[in-house]
Amino acid sequence: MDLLEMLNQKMFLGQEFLTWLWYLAEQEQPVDLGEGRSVMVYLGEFLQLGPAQGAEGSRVTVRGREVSLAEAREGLRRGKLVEAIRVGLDLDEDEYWLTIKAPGLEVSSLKLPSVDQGEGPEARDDLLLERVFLIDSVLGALEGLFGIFLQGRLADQGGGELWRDLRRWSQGG
Amino acid sequence: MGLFRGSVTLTRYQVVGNLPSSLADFLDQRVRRFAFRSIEDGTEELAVGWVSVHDYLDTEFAYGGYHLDPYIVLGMRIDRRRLPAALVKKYHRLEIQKALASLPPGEKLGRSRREELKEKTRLDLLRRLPPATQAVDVCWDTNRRRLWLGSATGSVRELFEELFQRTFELTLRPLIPWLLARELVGPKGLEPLEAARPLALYREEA
Repeated sequence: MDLLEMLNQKMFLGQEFLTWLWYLAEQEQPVDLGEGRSVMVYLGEFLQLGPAQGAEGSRVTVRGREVSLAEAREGLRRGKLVEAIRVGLDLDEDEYWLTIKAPGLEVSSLKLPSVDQGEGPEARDDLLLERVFLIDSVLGALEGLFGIFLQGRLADQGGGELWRDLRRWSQGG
Repeated sequence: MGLFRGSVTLTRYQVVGNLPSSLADFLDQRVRRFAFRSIEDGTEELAVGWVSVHDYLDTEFAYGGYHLDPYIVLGMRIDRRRLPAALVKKYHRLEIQKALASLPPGEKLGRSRREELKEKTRLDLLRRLPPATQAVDVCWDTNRRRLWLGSATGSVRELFEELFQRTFELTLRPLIPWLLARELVGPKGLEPLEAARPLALYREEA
């Protein structure tokens, strides 16, 4: 199987991971990332569901603070998965907000914690490095979550306990 | 478009290929060779090159280096002249009118002459049109071979991938979930990963 074929076949990983992030946000429990780090996931003001890989169907998009998730939940019950989600991550006592899209796990509109701005060339480089550190931190947490997801999802061919939990949750159980 | 100001939109890459041992010299030579060259006084429609991440007018990197070990932080500047087709059409017609006026009555312009006038119109307009500038932040972690581009736009990504490859003779691989997953699961997890198929959340009741 060539690389392109493999990439197309595995696009579902992004959708399934984002759906699991929504589930995590509703558990309201910190997730242990190891090495003394933990992260809390919050659902933001944007959620888009689409047909699962290989299926056909329409998209469901919900947005805004007052949004009702009923329509999105109905989409889940009909077999749709999350294509894009805005989440908050509470990490190292800082708050980050970002939008993530499947299938590439593209990160956009990432809002970082504020950074003190000094003056002069040195302060400018410090600011760059601080931003790099913050971006690295949040992407590292995202990769940590993806790693935890994969560990559970690949536990057996049926997606392990992780998928059974996700299925119960998606059916409102 | 940025990594270093405001909210961040980015594309993640893995850098594939070997870096030379004298990294600083190599980078300096290559970045300067492919630094942005102005097309302000010309008729070129596109120019792409490296600039300081602090100021897209700085191609000498006067306000500090781009090498904040282990990171390389650069700006990619894109200057474009985009001629609206309707504008070319209008001025082409005016050129044709002028040319016809200088011909004896009843004589027509040949196809090749019309094409020549179209190209002349295009170049005249390009000369008068200042290019629009866009600057995109780039951050490359040379230790971990990861790179972030401060944009997710397809056309910007294409220009960047081409410039990066020409400059450093290294390949960029977008860090999509599948490749990231391969890295995260390690050698033992590869078999279940490759065998994994989409799962359904909804199971039809019998």
